[in-house]
Amino acid sequence: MTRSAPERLLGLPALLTTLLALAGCAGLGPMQRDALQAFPEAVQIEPVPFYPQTDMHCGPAALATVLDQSGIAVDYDHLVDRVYLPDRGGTLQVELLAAARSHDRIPWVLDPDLSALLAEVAAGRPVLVLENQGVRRVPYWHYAVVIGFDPDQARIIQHSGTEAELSRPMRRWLRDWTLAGRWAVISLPPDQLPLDPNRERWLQTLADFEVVAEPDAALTAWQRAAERWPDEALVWLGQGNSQYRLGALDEAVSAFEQALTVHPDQPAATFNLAVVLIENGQPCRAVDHLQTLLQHPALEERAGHTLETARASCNRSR
Amino acid sequence: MNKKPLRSYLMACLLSLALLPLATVHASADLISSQEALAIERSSHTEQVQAWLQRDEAAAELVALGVDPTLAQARVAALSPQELEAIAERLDELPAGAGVIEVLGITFLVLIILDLVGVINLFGLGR
Repeated sequence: MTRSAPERLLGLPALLTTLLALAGCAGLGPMQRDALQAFPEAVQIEPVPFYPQTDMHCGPAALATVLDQSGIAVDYDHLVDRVYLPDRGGTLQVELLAAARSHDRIPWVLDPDLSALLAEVAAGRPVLVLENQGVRRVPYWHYAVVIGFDPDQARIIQHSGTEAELSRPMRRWLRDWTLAGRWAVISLPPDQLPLDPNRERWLQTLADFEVVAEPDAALTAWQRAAERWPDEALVWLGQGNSQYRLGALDEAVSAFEQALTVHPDQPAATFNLAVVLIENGQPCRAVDHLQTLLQHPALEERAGHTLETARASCNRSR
Repeated sequence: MNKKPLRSYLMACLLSLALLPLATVHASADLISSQEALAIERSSHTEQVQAWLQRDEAAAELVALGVDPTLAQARVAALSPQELEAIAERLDELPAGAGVIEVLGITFLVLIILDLVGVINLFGLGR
């Protein structure tokens, strides 16, 4: 006995509390337990192609996995060139999203909760996740792909780094995922929607996709969105833009007109309709549309220039 | 006598070649993208323009981190305005997933030991 009894009484609970805290940050809360129990059976997507990471390329490896699973033949080395930052020794989240777009896949960032992630996995879509395997102050960032889970055993199954079908205790994994802000993303072919698309966020996602993707891929994505939200002007504007890029002027005109049917004064649709009408040999119709935009703060200048062109063509055609 | 038509033919070819890129750029730049339409709707149009200016800045950041300049241009071209802003303004704070698992395990162990050592000193145990 080197210590007095009061000292031991003070020290022991403190040590126990600390140990519990260490384990506790990896604990499964009631919400996570419910999320897991919502699925009666174990799920594993098969087969999910596995790209073992080389060097510090967990980003390209994880991206290759989800792109391949969504039907895109990928070249791992090409992906390294597209997303890896040599002097940072890693890959940024935003570059993974950008690279998916460049491959005509829609990157959809899930809501930061376990239920959303498990639901997508159960629907057969592997989920790319960011993990922090260090601690908050000394982070070690890692990307992996969730391909399955087992509610009974409370385990999660991943392709991670150099390990295929790695099974980890859900508690441990949740800790790493939570420390990384619960960031999770799926790669969608243009003809698919996520299970739970938030309308506004999905429209923004497609607008960002349209700029980068091939026009036929963008057109398909907008058409799917129009089936879901036909009263949204943007889904028709997007279709018009894609049709125009495909050289289908009549279809572009119809799409922009539809946008104006559901939202009569939509400025972008008004402007784009006018531009396509000029090119499609109906400049006099374009003049009327452009005149409504002359007071618009963001478009007055462009509308003014285009109006001159439209008037000139219209006069010539008379 | 034969030279004249040939020369004018060549000139016409050159001219049309020179005008070709102009024509395509003009055509595709004319329409308002859905991305810009959303920005106009939210009246964040000036922010959008600013983000486009940040494209060069972001590309320079990538080049500084060892990315080939041509690749850097292609990489930033696929970023959305919001993503560009993140790179241009706080690249250093963004997580960069690397996944060096072996080093990881060791470091985590050391951190736990350091933690425990701190606890022991704090409560006077194991001295």
